[in-house]
Amino acid sequence: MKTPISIVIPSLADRELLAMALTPVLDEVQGRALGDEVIVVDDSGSGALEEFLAHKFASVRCVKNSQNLGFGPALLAGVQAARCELFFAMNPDIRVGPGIFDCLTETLLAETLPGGVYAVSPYVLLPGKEAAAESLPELVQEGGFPVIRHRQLELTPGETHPDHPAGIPVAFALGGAMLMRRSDFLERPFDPLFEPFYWEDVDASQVALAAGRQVLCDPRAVVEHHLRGTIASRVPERVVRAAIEKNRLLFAWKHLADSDKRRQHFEALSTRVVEQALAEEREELIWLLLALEQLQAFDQAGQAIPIDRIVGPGTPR
Amino acid sequence: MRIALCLHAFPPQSRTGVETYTEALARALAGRGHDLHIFAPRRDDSREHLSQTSEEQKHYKITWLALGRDPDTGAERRARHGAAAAFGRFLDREQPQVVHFQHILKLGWELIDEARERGLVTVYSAHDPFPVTNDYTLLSADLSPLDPGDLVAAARNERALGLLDRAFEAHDGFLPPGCGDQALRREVERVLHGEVPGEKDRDDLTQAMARLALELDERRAAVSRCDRVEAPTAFLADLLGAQGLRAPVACRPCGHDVEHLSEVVAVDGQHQGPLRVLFLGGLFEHKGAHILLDALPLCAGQGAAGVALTLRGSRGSSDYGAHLASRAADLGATLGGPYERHELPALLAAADLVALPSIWPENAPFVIREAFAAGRPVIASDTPALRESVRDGVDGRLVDLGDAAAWAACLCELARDRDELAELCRGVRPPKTTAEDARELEQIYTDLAEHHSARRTRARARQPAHLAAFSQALEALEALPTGELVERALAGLAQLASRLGQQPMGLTQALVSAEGLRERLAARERTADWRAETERHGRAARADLRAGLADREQALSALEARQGQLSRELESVAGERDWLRRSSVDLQAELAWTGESLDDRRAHLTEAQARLRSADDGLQAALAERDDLCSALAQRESELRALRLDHAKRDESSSAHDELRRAYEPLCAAHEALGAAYNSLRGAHEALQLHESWLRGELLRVFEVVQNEDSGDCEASDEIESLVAQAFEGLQRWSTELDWRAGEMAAATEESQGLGARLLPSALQRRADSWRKPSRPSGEAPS
Repeated sequence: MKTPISIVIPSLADRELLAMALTPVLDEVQGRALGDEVIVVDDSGSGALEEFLAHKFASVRCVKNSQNLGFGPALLAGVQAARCELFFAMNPDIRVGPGIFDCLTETLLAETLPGGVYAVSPYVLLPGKEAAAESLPELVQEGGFPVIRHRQLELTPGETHPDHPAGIPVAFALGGAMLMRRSDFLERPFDPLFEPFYWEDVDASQVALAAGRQVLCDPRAVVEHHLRGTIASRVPERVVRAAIEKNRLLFAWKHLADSDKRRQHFEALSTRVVEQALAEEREELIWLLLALEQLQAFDQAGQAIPIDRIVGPGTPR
Repeated sequence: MRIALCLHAFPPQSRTGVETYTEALARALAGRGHDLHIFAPRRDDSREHLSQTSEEQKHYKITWLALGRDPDTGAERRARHGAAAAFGRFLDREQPQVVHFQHILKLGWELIDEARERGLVTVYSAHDPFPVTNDYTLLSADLSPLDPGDLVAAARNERALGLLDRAFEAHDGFLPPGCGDQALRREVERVLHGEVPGEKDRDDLTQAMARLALELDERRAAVSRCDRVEAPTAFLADLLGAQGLRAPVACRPCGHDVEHLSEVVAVDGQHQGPLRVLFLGGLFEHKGAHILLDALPLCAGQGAAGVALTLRGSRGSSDYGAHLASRAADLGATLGGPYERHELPALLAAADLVALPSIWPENAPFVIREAFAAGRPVIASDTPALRESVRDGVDGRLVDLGDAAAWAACLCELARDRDELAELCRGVRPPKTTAEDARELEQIYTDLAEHHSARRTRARARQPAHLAAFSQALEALEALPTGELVERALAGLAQLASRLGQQPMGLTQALVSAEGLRERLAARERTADWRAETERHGRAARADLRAGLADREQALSALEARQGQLSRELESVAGERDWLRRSSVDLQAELAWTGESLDDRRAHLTEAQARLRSADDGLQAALAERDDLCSALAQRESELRALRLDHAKRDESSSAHDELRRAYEPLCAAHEALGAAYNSLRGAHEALQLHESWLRGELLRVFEVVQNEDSGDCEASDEIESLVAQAFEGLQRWSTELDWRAGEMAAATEESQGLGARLLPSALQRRADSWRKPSRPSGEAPS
């Protein structure tokens, strides 16, 4: 059964990039003829896209944020405005391939899997690096810290993996290209603890996995990721790195339920601090302090992380 | 404001100009409420190479970078591997807002980038041309001038210094005058100025040039990246610009800590003792103390009271100092060792003037300001830089560089003329003080810091708005000194421990529990060594590449020149070819046109020939005509001659003519009367003719009547006969009158003929003749 979906694209003011993303999406929507809707969340904060969309892509709905909020809140605004129960979250530097939405909806709505499917990612290819897919992540703990690795599976883009006909289980669905239920997202949007960006999608998927849901990658659905429109291209590298590493720590503190792993992490963290102090290095100290500051801010705002009730992978709530 | 001053050495280890200046500046800035931190290297075998130790002084803090071993190469003497990383740690630890480089000798240009990468305000004060040349005295090893832009000379000088390294245990970069054996001197001069003998030597020289070019390029570029570059003289500022420093160089004289010299008593210009000349400064070759010693014997016997010379300063590491001491002793000069700051007032008080006989271009020597602060004039070598400090004849004298005789003449003149000396003393003005300098720098630092802050704000504004808070938090943490970061991190760990249900770890526990820590630190040391080694290899490789590049560039230049020549030739040939092509086309067109026009021309020729013939005929006719005309002309000429003659005659008969004219006038009147008579006669004649016609008509009708009468009409014949008779009577009267008139006319004609023969022209004559035979109307006369 084919189901209509809402495609939600949070975007900054890069019109050219957005136009390149929208064209294949609209082709696909037209081809499906199911009443899919396309929503662009204008997160430029200046209303830079509204007129452009009305002029160039009249069928696209524009949800305008009065100020720049970042990816997570922008996506939430788009999902709140969406009419369909299923939505495809998409970055504007993603180019969708043919048949993607049919495949993803089929996988998401499969009823055969226990717990149901929380989110499905397409097979994300980097142009020119076809062997390095982005959408088969796994989460491991190395030296006491959570680390994301990308599995390398023998598979052909556009075809089902023989061992995983219903989709390949992954640690998380990429926030920039995933299909999920609107009701799920509205019930538990991206955790603002991870603002401004990165690790929020990992957190969401891990929470779902902990609750017994499935997170899958469907290699039949293929997209290209052009690595242009993300926030990383607009801010200094050290800021991006600091955000990633701060959130890595916050993620660890939120999700390391296993007491041994938690101990390992704390010891590793303490050791890092001492090493940095002895070597007169600073980067990791700064990341730690950024994470601690954010945690403290959440405490003060009454939004403390429920570490005592944290769940780990494979531990249903 | 947190300010770091970075330089190559610092008191008490070294007390030459830059070090002394920096120390005074640090005190002055600290006195204005700023946190001052000095970063300087020093030789310290007791500590680990490149380790850092900090000392708190009264006004500032010093971090010493330990240099634990001798550098391997000249390049390493100028920039020690690992110094930049150590400086980076210093910056992180102390978090200055401003880094002011006073010199980067021994440290290296990478220090500048360490500061810039951290977003700090960077200022570079050039106290000599080191940013653009290694030979910052601008002298070669034999004390000959060295052009800072001449890489060949620089590479040769580097080789000459290698000779000195091998010949002397220590030296200051020069072959001291009067020292060294002659063979070494000859070898140094050959290396500096002679032919390069073999191919290997040439290759070595090329490689050395490439290495130097790379080193200088990097240093120039790094200094240019500073937020501000300044020099104390326009001479140095211009030199740096001319030698490729891309940043604008501001000219800002340094201030001097000379308060302690203001109480020095003025010179007694009238004292009769010898002129007291003081030399202050390092006893190094380029400072030229030997010039003064050379001048001393020349002063003897010049009728002056004499010159007493005192030399004070630290000796260098070469034999030069011993050489000076020996000569000073021979000449009766006093040569003392280095002096402390507090000794300076007494030294200056005991001198009439200060001598600065430098044989290098100099810059802005501090000793001049110290002398001026004590009211002493300065006799200095005449160089562009020193001209900016000493006003010749106002507060001192300028003497030809290195000219001992000129020095002797100047000193003797001042020894003799104490009034002149007093005048120079009066011309001295106090120098800029360190306090003024600090005030200026404070403003410069503040302006640059504001500029940086504005730039950071602009950069943040370009980021998406939702990142502002995070970026600000990150920057705030980045601005914390490393020590504070560690403290905060440890405190944070303690909080986190309780939150995660863990026991907080003490430092010892962390060290013990971190099994791989020592190994990792050792690995990092190894990595640092490896990196330094790799950098060395990299530099060597880059130098080799640069040398190869130089060769290739040379070859390329030759090829380009050849290519240029060939291109020009080709261009010329192509031009010629094009010209030929165009010519060919033109010729073909011309040929076609010529073919076409040939027929036309032939037709034209035929036509022309016909015309020619016709013209020939015409010519013949014209010739005949010409002949006719000639004959006519001859005839006309003869006529003209005749006319002229006639004219002459006429002139002669003009009086007769007038007479005739007077006679003619009545004749004309008579003629007019004749004409009127004639017209009257003519009218009468016509009337007669009409009448005759009428009569003829009447007669004809009469004859008809007669004939008709014959046929029976007898009653009218009487009347007719009467009419006929009347008609005949009338005719007879008219005929008589006519006869009379004819006689009158004949008489008048005869008279007029007589006159006409004499007076009238031929036409009038003919007309008059015609009157005698007047034409009659046609018709029969009445019978």
